[in-house]
Amino acid sequence: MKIAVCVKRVPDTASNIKLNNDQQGIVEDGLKFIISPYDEFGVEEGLKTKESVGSGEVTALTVGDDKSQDVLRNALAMGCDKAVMVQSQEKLSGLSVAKLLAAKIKADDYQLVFTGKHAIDDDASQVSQMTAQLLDWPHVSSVSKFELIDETTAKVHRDVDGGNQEVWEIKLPAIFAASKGLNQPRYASLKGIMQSKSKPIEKVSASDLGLDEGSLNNNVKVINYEEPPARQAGQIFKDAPQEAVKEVVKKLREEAKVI
Amino acid sequence: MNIAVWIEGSNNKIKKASLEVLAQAGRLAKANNANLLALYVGESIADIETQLRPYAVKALYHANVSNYNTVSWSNQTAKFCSDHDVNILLASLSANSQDTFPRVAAQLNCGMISEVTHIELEGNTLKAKRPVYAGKLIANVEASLDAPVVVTCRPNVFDPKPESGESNIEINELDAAGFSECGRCKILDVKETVSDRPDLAAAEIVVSAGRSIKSEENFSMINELADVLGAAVGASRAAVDAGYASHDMQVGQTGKTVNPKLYIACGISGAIQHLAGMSSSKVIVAINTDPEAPIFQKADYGIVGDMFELVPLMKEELAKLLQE
Ligand SMILES: Cc1cc2nc3c(=O)[nH]c(=O)nc-3n(C[C@H](O)[C@H](O)[C@H](O)COP(=O)(O)OP(=O)(O)OC[C@H]3O[C@@H](n4cnc5c(N)ncnc54)[C@H](O)[C@@H]3O)c2cc1C
Repeated sequence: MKIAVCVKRVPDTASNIKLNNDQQGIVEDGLKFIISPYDEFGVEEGLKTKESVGSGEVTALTVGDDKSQDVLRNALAMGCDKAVMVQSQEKLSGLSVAKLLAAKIKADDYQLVFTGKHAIDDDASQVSQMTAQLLDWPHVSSVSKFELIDETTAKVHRDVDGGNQEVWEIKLPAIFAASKGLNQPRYASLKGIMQSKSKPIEKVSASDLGLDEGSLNNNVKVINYEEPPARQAGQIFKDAPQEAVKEVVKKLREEAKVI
Repeated sequence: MNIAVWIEGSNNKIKKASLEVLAQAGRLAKANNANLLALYVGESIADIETQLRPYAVKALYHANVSNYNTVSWSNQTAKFCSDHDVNILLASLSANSQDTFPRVAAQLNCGMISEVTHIELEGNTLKAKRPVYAGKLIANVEASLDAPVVVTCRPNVFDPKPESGESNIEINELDAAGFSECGRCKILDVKETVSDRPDLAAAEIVVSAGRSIKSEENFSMINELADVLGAAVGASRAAVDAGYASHDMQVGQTGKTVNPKLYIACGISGAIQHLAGMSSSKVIVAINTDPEAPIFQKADYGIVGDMFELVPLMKEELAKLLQE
């Protein structure tokens, strides 16, 4: 079974994000980058699925520039067999990224694709669903349990509102977006890290895939970024628990007017 | 110009989050002389017309369908947009809009703006703001209306009060068959958590606990406080990873983003990843034994002390007040 796992390079969750002077992006100097955490659940599920089937290969797939090689190496070190980078210099919209991914997925004929449920940089949660649509495949956008019934059918749990879960039967080929409850991503082993260094990374461009990068974008554009209003520390009560609680409850009603 | 709102209902009511979007879309429609349309896919709501009337909706399109389906719902929604020349399609963020809307955008070959917290129309340009990097920055986004645009809105951001006045609504039934199973994906079963509490992501009040709650059983104290307030219950990742709470309760960068008017954090240190999910709350109350805990930097009201003592006291105090 040919499995693809989509990964994205994002700033570490612990980073303090700083806006650069022209407000067009963030200061990257000194920032640590990682595989988007939800994508790691996708990588793990891809590897687990291959192991359970007993054959096949798992390819890590990203859209990005040369800096993204790090996250591909990381996915290879976790155990992926191959890595592919669809090269892009531009900041692309969700739909444009989906077009590039869909073109590569189609060209390489994968049966099963895992992504994260959203990337923690742009927090948009679009690419997985859009890629599925462009391929005319079904998808599940927040998967907390995945089970392959046979080569053509998967049974999965989808997280929905109110903490409920739906159980879906999905015909492959399909795309599954990993949510947090799905699994526990493995660490890269020393052997994996050593091996990952010698595995090649395939690079393709939009034009290799028959797409014109210049015409990929659509009617939605990010104009710039701004800092959110800063939060000030408020009133702290240290003594006499009973009185402190009384006082805070009173303030919630009279000052903040939220209850 | 046509602005359409994809609404959702539960218990014979249009969801509050959908009303927020309807009200905001109504303001955009009124200021720009546009038609406001509503699309509702779901089981019939008895007095839906009465519920919609204050929002100056011109027409409601309803498909009487009981089961959600990813592929067919997105196909039919995209078809609806083409059939009715929809320029802007809006919905509140929910499991189903998040599932469907990107596919609709891909089908219409247009852009999508997820989880906006501000939206306005200037001529032929839609301008929106949306949090990125888990709220550490805000992106200013623009969409030209030369093509349609598909938008989801954060709950608890827009005022649900309509200002547009009454209207007569034309009601149209859509053919429900198109929205049914697609053959390649279907729901086999729904596992419902039995809870009367509001949905965490849309709740107006959230009470959360962290690692220091020490057990799943101890959450009963948090639940009781939440019940007094009609609040949803959240948790830090440390509480989830320790098995005290389920993963759908996690608030933070890799959990849910909440946007309530009141967030009560009990025994939560205030790590950057937790703050990422809740720092846009209108008012934050923190209870923590450590006066140096980072959460106090963000809290409007902080109480230094043991939550096992303070949470029950707070419950009593609130119960008294809310009874008056
Ligand atoms: C990739 C990644 C993603 C992450 N995503 C998230 C996320 O989405 N959400 C999230 O929450 N975290 C997330 N984290 C984890 C985050 O970094 C913190 O570890 C976590 O938020 C800590 O949870 P906590 O505050 O409950 O626990 P702790 O940090 O252990 O803090 C416990 C707090 O309770 C206080 N306390 C102890 N006893 C009492 C008492 N009796 N009464 C009152 N206060 C008491 C202590 O003073 C302390 O401040 C993520 C981490 C990583 C690496």
